[in-house]
Order: sequence, then structure tokens, then C-alpha cells
Amino acid sequence: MSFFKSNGIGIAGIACAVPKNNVTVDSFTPVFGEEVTSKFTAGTGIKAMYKALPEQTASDLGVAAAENLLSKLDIDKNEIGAMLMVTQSPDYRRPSSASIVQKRLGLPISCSCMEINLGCSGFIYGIQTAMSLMNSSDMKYALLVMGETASKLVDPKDKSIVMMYGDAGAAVLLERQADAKTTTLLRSDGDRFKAIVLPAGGFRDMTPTHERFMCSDGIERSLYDIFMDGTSVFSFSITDVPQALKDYLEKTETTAEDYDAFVFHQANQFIIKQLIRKMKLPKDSVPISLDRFGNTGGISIPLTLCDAYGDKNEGKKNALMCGFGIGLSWGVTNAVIDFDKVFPIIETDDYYKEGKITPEML
Amino acid sequence: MTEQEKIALIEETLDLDEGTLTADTVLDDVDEYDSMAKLSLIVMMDDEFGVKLTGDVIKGFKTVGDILAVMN
Repeated sequence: MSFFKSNGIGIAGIACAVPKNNVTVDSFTPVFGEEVTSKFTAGTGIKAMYKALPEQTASDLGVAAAENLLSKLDIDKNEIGAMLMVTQSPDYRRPSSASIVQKRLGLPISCSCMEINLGCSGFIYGIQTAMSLMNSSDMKYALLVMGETASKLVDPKDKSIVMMYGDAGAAVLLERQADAKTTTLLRSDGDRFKAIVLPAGGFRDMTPTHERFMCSDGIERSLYDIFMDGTSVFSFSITDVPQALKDYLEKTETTAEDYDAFVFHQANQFIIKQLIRKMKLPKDSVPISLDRFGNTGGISIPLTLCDAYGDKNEGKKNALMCGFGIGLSWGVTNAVIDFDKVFPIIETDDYYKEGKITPEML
Repeated sequence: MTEQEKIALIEETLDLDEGTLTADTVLDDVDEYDSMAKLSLIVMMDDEFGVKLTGDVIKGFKTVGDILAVMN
């Protein structure tokens, strides 16, 4: 079983950024009709989301969040020993966006940088990987940067998901904290890799057809669009995910009463309601952000923390966090977080203009 | 649980009046059997029968009788 224990490493601060462009579900009514949009909101809980500019990438959003975090915490960048970028929306096919983020943040050559290609479970996997790197080194800080612009991968006519994905970036700084204790559970099931898939753009098929075809859910797509088998993903979310939470509580010998907040991946309000019901959680301890931000993939957990606690000074709280989705991949972790160091979400239209590479630059 | 009780449970899950469905009812003919109803069906089957419905199993449901067949 993939259970990890980490002592002496804690979260120094969390910051998030979203694009300025706010899109409401109501604005899709002229395209899909009132019945579709109102049913969508009733079913998912999503009313609006933020969508990136065409030029704005996941790394731009991650960098904006990281710059805000590092300036608020006022730390010496030369003491960051590792930077992990978590994204499935890279700037280029190669190198990974970790290199671009390192350059833009001005992180030193002594900082090890790499990328993790995960979606909705990415925050949990990212935190654990950063903690593992710190555990086996003497670095003072590790920085986790996340960014996602899944809204760019959706067919605008796909009523099942065009109103679902929001874009966002996040940054989390980890530091040495003498009394910090974290337990993490990570799980993965590649057998269900087709449950959420975007076939084109990889190396399995270098020349995929642009032809549009009717999918099994009655919606027309091409191989360049995200496909999600909604019923299978839902079934996974209300069976495998609560099972992982139960296994986590058993392994850590804790109960729901031991945690002040339960922060779940913001996939769909119906799923979150089912998790609250199945785990018998106090509803007030489960913050929701998807109504205003949509599904922002792995960023949804730090985004929900910043949304719920960013402007409050509530001191230290023990948060249980659970991410689940594409892969399929899921995980659970906990952290005692100083909510005074969880900052309000910022909005930005900034993007890296020098990042657009033209022939004369090569 | 009798077959009639199981049908009543499906009706309740799909938010239908009692007596609307029979084992022979074709699901494509039931307007209320939409994507959200399928999610409610997944929850009900998990809660009441401990049955984990996958997307493929749900796609295979043509009549109410097909749902009844996995309610055990």
C-alpha cells in the first residue's frame, strides 16, 4: 500500500491565481438553450468559471500565484531546493514547463526542477513528492507550482464539459516545521485510463484525423477534444474515493472529528454531497468553490483553501484533502495549515510574451 | 425485496410517480432517465445493494428489467 509518512515538513503558505475573464453558465444559454444550462447548474453546482486568454498558459497562472506567494512570505529564492510543476497543459511539447517556471521565477541553478503530469490528483501527488524530496535532502524549502487551462481542450459545442472546466494556477511552499506530521495515501488505476482521455497530440498517433464523430454519449467530438465517460467517473468518485478515505482514517487511527476542514477536489457538487453523506461529515467543514470557479483540476484543492480561508485569520487548522480524477489517479493527505498564510486569490491577464517562439528566434 | 418493491425503488430514484414503470418499460422512452438520473441510480445501487455500476453496465441497460437483473 502506498502510505507515506512525513515528519518535520509543513506548508509555509498557499496562493492561487485565475484569469480575469469570468464566464457564466448563463452566457451559454443562447447556444444550448435554457433547459440545458439550468439542468447543468442544478446537476453540477457550477454557475461560473474563469477562462484563460488565448495567449495565457498554465505556467503563466502558476507563475502569477508563485510570485504572489513568494513576495508575501518574503523568502530568499536561493534557499528553494526543489520546484515541482504539476500540469497537463504544458507551454511546449518539450522541455517541460518546469524549466520555464524556473527561469521566470528566477530560481537558482541549485534548485532541482521537474514536472508531474497529473490532473485532479496532482495536488496530493505533488505535495507528497515534494515532501519526499525534502525528506531525503537538506533543502530548506520546496516549491510546488500548479497550472491548468483545460478549458482550451474542450470542443465549444460539447455541452457535457464546456461549462465545467475553469482555468487556474496555484503555488504551495513547503518548509521545515519541527512539529509537522503528514500522512498521505496515493492510488492509481491505469486500467481505467480511457475514462478521461484526449487522444490527439501524443506520440501514439502522430497524424490523427480531424473528422468529427458521434460518441457513445450522443455528443459529437473529434480526437482533439477531451472525452469523459461521466457515469464511470462518477461511479469511481463515489466508491473508490470514499474507500480510500475510509482506509486513510483507519491507517491513521483518526476519525472525522480529528479534522477541522475537508477539502475535496471540486469536480461536481453532486459528488461532493455524496462524499459528505457517505463519510458522515459536517457540511460546514466542507468548503465549496466550484460554483464560482468550475472544475480547475488539481488546482481545485488549493483554490478552495484560498477561496474559503484566504481573507480570514483563523490560525492553524488540520485539513484533510482528497484529489481524484484522470488516470485514474487519487490520493488523500492531511496538513496542519496556518490559515493566516493562505492568501486571497488574485486575478491576472499577464502572460509570458517572450515565450512565443518564432522561427527568427531559433 | 419483491420485484414490485424494486420497481418502486427505481421509480423513486428517477423521481417518477408510483406505477409508471414495469419490467418491460424501455428506458429510452422514459424522459426522466437522463444523465443525472443515471448518477442517482449509481448511488442507489451502491447504497441499497452494494452493487458498483460502471458506465459500461449502465450503457447496457435497455429496459427496467435489465436494471432489476442486477438488483440482488
